Amino acid sequence: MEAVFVLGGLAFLLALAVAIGVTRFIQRRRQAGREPRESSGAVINQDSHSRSAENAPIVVADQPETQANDKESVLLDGEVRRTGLRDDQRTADEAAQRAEQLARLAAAHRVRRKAAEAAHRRAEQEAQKLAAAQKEQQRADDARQHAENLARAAEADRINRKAAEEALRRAEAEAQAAAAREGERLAAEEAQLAAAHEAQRVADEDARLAALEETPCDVANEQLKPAEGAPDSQPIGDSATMDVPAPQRRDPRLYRPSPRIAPTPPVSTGASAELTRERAAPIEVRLIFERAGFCSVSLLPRRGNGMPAELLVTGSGDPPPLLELQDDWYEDVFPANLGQLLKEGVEWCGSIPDGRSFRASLSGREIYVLAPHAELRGFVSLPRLILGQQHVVLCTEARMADVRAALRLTGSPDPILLAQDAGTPAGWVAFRGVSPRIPIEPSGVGDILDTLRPLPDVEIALGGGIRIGRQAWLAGFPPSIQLHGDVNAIDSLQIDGVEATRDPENNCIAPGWDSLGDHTVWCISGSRTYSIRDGAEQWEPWDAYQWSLGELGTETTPSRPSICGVLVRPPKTLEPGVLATIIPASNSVLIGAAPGEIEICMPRSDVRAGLCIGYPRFEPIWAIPADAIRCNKRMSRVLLIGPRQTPTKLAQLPISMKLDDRHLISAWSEAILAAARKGLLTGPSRADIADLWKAYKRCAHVLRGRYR
Amino acid sequence: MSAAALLFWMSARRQGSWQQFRAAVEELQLNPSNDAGDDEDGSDPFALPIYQTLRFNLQRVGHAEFFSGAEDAEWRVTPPSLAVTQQPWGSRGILVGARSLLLLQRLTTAAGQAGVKLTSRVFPDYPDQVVVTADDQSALAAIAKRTGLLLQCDVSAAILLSLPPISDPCMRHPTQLPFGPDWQVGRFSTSTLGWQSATLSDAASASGSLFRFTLRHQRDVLFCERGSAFRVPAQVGKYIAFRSERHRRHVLRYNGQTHTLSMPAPCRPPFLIERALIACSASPPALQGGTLIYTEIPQNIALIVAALLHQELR
Repeated sequence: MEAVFVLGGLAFLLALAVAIGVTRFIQRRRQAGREPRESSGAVINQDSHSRSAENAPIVVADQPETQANDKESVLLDGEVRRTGLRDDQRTADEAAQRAEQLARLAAAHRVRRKAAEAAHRRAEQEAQKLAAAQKEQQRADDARQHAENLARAAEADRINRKAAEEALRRAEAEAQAAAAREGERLAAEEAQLAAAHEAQRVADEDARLAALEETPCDVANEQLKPAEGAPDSQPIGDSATMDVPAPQRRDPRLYRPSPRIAPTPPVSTGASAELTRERAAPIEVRLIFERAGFCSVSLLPRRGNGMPAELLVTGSGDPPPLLELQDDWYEDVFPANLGQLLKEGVEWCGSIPDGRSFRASLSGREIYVLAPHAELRGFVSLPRLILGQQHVVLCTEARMADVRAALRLTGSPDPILLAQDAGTPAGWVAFRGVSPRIPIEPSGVGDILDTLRPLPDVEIALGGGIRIGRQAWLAGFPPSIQLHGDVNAIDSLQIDGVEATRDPENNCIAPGWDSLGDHTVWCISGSRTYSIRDGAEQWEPWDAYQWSLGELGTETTPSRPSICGVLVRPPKTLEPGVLATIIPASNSVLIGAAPGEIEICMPRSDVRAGLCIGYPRFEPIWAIPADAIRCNKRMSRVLLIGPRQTPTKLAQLPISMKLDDRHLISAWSEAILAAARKGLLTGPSRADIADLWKAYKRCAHVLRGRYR
Repeated sequence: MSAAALLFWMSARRQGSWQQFRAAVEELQLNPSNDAGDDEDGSDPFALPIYQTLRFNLQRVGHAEFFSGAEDAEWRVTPPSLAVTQQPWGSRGILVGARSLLLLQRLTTAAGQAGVKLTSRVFPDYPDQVVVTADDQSALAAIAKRTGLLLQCDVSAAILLSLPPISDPCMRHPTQLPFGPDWQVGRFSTSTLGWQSATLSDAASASGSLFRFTLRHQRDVLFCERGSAFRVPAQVGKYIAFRSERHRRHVLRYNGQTHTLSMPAPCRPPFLIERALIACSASPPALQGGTLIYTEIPQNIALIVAALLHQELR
């Protein structure tokens, strides 16, 4: 497009330049033509004058000389006139040629301009066509995306509907099972009542026979009336009139295992509204074995994402505030009436600071199955027994016989019974050492005893070891790999593609399974990955406590030493890296091997224990009394506290040194010579150590003479 | 799993949060040992949770520092160090701080090459105590250098001489008395060595007593003196309370023949002092009949402890 415009512009400029040139040429020609025409005009005027003059001789044509002159002038005039006509004719021809040329140039310019305009129009048309195509494409994309969104929404809707239908089916199944159980219970009650009624009737019959009179007996009906009315006694209006925005107390639910039955077609969609409500956080049951065979049972609420570290809740059992145990769990709760709560269920609710409500729930039941947990110690509740795993089964005393019989069917070794005196909740007992071996088919109606019927499924479990990442274990402490479930259904288990074997503890191992790197465990029912990594190998000290007895931090005092573990770090005012040295308070002057290496330690006035601490910037060799001249010669010693290192050769000392260094060397030699003058013995009192001390004395003598 | 596994885990991680520590205690299935002490039976409702027990034990020995001592973390493992003490028969070094299998291998190799004795002692709820014994301190220094351990000679005296006495002003942090009727107030009795019920007005009018204020899970220990309140560590506060009495009570006992330092269990010394005492014998204190007993304590160490706590040795 731009090229077309440029060409058009250039053509226009060219045409303009040509037109200007032609115009100027014409003007010049016209000026050039006007001058001869003016001269010819003069001739013409002369002619006219001559014509008038000629006319005048014609008028006065009587004179013969005048006539001859007139003939010559007429001939001359004719000649001039013919010449002017030829010139005019030539000029007209040239003008016609120039006009023709100008016309041609104008025509060519017009053609070029038209061509440029046509090209411009074509370019514009093409651009419009391209924009239209892009718009069309955009519209098509939008339409496709909209269609995809609609499809996704439809799919999500379908999944939601399917979930709702499944939930409804489950709810119906549960309702059916509950109704069946309720029917059984009512039947049993009716049977009991009938038996009682029969017994009463027999007694009454006996009495009637004895008293020869009849009395109506409607005991059963009287007893049944309140029972029939009880379930409907829940005040519906209460919940309707409540204006509580977030926490809403609910009644605890009773637990029923999910029946493993074929799904039935949905009947109605009325449950979808119920499904959109917020789910309650589960409350698990935990049992921890303590010392001397005791155990403790607690409730362990799960902590969801964004839940506060401390949470006030109300509900069953008057719970205390929940405190975080770790990221996913709150701390154990030990309600006073735990036995009753376990049976009837727990429902807690509270409000989160962000305005949301929190609900935690444990459905009541008579049997709990507990097993080791990957993140928690002790035994934590789970839906049902797992083949090959150690469990603890917690049940009510009324269910003890049923549980024992059910466990016997699983092929578990005889479990150990823990009664209430071992720490179980009131009315509950625990079976310890349950390890099912045989899968049992569930009842299909959601019987509570289904929790004691392990399914024939297999799970690869990674446990034990020292885990230092999500799926990473510390080198040297790999995980134990075990199969839980129907192990007999597994033909092959491979670790990193190598067939695994079992060790004596029933862990799966294979060559290189615990080496550094990533590993994969595979069996036909699934796979797990884990990695073995090195931990940290570099640790740095820091100033953990400075002039503190711990617990509460104190303000930084640079002149004080600090403690990190068992390390005593020097005050920050000293050079880093110096080591704390403990010496007797009586020998508080530290002497190094090099002249000038002297450190005077100050014993603490508030701790009179005969020791003091120093931070020499050198390796101390000797500890000598601070005031050697006045010390007790018989008690004091020059102590060797470092390696048996001879003093630095004097030749190694620099010839010129700073004033401070000269003072230090002087102090070093004076301290040694003072102890020497006193005649102090060395400690330990050995000959080699005494000789070493003599070497220091000789060095000090020489230095005193040099630096005095 | 044992507490040693916990120390391996901490060493591999270097530092972390309190939640991670508690999660590790849970995951490693660490349970209180049966022989933790004759006074701590399983039915004690006031017994410390296992994670607190492990935390205090790690802190006492010096394997790790927690909270205010852990710099910018909530726990941090200390660098591997050899804590050396002089004994009548030679020198003893205790491996304190971070450890890994590689480091233990290096230590075993170095000890074997130096011909010194390397033992591992097991204590309930403590990581295994790895001890190196040699005739000469220089041999331990050489082993430490070869293994890559930091060395601390005369560890007990060095630690004790770097600590302030309980009367030091830095031990007291001025604060306000709590207000509100929900606080449960207890007063430390220097005679029974227990907490007795008290009121806020008792704390406000006390002339020098230790009070404990409890509200749900929150607990503050304040030393109240003539209307002023100071936040103090609980164990420090007890000895301050002994000192402020008209008839000062002395609870430390030292037996020069058996070299044991003992005190009633409620009067456990502040943990940095305890760290120095444990380093003397490389073993935690024994709890016998309500008395804590620290063994192999030299007399000068016992004197320094008594001076720091403003006690007299009996």
